[in-house]
Amino acid sequence: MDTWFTTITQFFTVGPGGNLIQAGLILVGGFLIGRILANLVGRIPSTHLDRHMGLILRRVIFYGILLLAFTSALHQMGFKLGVLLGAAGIISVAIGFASQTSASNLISGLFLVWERPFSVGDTIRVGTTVGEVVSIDLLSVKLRTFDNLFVRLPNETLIKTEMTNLSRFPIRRLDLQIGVAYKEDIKRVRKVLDEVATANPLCLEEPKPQFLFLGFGDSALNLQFNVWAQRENFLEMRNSLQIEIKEAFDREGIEIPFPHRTLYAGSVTDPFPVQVVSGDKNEP
Amino acid sequence: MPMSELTGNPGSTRWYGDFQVAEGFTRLWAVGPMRLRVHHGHNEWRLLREQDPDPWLERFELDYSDDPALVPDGDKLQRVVLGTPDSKVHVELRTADRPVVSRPVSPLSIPGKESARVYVSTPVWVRVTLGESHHLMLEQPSYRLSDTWFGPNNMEGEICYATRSRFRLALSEQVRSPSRIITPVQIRNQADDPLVLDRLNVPMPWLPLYGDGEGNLWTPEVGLIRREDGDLAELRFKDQPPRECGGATRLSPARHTGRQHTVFRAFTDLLRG
Repeated sequence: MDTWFTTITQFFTVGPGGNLIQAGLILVGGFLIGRILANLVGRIPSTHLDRHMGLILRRVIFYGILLLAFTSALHQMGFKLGVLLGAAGIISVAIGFASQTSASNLISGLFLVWERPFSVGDTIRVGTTVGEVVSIDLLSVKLRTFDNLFVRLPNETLIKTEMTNLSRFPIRRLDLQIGVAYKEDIKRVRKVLDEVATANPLCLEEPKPQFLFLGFGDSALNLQFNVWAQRENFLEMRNSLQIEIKEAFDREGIEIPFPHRTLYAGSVTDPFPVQVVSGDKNEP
Repeated sequence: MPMSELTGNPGSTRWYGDFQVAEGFTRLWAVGPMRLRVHHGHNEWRLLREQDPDPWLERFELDYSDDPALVPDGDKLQRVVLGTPDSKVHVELRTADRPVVSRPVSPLSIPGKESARVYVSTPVWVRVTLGESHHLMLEQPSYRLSDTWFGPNNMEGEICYATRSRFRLALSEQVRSPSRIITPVQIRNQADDPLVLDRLNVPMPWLPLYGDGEGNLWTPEVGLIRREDGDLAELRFKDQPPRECGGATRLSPARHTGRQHTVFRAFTDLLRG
């Protein structure tokens, strides 16, 4: 019994067990210190440090301290770091081939942080996905779409493809495509549209609303009405303005036509025969 | 039979200050286009601000009644639940919370080394607080102005309000209402070339508010000097009522106090020619 106890004691004091425990303590200590410091950075108010920089700083501090703790723990366990780094060089070539995608995403992530085309909290559009940036990580960017879906975009995709930041500038333009009937007076339609824009407080007075006559369509005169709004009010303005335009057109008797076809039998043919039938709906 | 107390003369009746609203009663302010009702219910306050589409509506009607028909209701109703039995309501008037952009009736030209005095009219903001601790219950403009962008391009600048009333060269031509504030602006062109004035940005959040004995609201005179180099504008204002009002009392301090008295800003930040 005594021999067994002595062996265990020696393992943990002079043997490899002691080093293992110390290395474990260094790792746990490093993890805790990293966590605490990262949380302290997280408490810096957003007036001093914006969300994007705060997130990056927290990650750098946490992973930096964890890396230091990991190398110290290896050193404690008797590993020679020089040899390890040499071995890591060979291993990294092998790993590099195996994890090309991850490495590409990692490097793309660094470029994204450096170039800073968007920040946490911005709304971006990539392909058909539109959403708010929730986090910018080493391998991917996470978005929350407006229908509350979580989308993970690899950093490499963001570097390679076209990305639109909808939150960069304080004001945005809404381009409304409107069709009116051929019989309508364009000047009157323009006046009505201008009045609707002036009456809507969310529609910016400057830059001025812009009226464009796009052309003669199949069924309608195609118009475009460009109005500006504050970024935060964009959706509300888009809704309210279109409703107000419809109401104003109804009030003024301006027709928004449906697509229609005129059947023409040609000048040499007789007109289509039209037969008037009884309007009694109760008739079987 | 509901009790009611109706008053209506902007010259003799103050529509701002402290008011008692007993439980079960409603107080109504119909001043210009704004119609504000504050109802004291059982452990709750109901507030509703409505706006007439006509910004120039001349109306002055104050009412205090327990008529159930006056109790505010609807989608835009604001309800505040308070356990304290306080029934004193403070109605405080403030200047706009953003700069206001005003235009002349037609573009004005001020030759070099000349000056002009213009008058800008803006709606007043109404702030309703409750009791000794001044719990904020509502802060709304007497008329909601349109948003506008003021800056050298669509990327740099600031969101302001655009007033539909034009600035005038004569005070008598300007719209006078108990719900509107008059700001005299003295513009001096120290450059050699003429200044064609198309838009004017009045820094309302940096101005205190004054009220005279006739129910008119004023801010201090704002001095705008276009400097000789033509690129910088100097903005000056003092915390004192303008000479036109003939004595007035201070109703509220400026919203922002960071950069008073003299401010140098890019010319395009204040005036657009």
